[in-house]
Amino acid sequence: MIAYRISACLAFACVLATAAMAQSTSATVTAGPLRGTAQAGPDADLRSDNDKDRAADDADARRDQDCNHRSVTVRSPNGSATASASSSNGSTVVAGGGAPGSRTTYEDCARPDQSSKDGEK
Amino acid sequence: MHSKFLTAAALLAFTALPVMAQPTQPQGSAAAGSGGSAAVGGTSATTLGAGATTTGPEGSASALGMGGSAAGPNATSRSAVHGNENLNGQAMAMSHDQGTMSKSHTVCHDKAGNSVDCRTKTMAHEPGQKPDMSTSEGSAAIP
Repeated sequence: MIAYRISACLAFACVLATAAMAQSTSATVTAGPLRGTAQAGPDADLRSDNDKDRAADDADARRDQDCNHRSVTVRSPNGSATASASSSNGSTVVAGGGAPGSRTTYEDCARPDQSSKDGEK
Repeated sequence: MHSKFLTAAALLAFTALPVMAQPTQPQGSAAAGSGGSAAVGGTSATTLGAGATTTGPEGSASALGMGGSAAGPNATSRSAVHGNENLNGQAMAMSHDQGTMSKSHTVCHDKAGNSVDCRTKTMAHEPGQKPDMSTSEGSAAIP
């Protein structure tokens, strides 16, 4: 009986640990015309294809309408950590960086989609 | 029955030993950010930063985004992120018209696989008035 209880406790602890490890966390900051988001964890890049298409459409619309949008998005190699800063104000500057192999994407009127991979020369 | 208990205890000991023998490597994720705005007399300045880091069996990853915006006379803004594994970011924005000034400054430290700390300080000042200052912080650490 005691052995059963110990085994049950071990199994419960494993479930708790697995659930804790599988969680992701995010932070969103909005200040004036700026908006920043950061997300980390196994499901940091869980946007559906529809969401991605919609985001691309939104970006195109912003460029066509007022050409004031500017953003940077950084995505780690496996997508487990992402961070972005964006603005609806044309006088904004944004910058981003990530761990080696991360992909940094800048978007503004002059450079609609400019990606670079950290660590590449 | 007694032997069953001993078997379970021995199994627990063998399970615990490798964990105790190795330095514990934290696993998890953290994300944090901070931002702030200052505005006075036709000048305004805004900065923010947001960072994320994660660590697991495949290693650590981190990402950091910074932004700064200023409007009004003599508006200047600058953002930068430096580093490789550990990232440091700064965003500064300022606008001033003679003695009237709005300023915002955000600094973020993204320690890969460990923690994210961001701090934003803002100041608005008009001649003859006390400066209006504020600080906001956001931090998160992988337990």
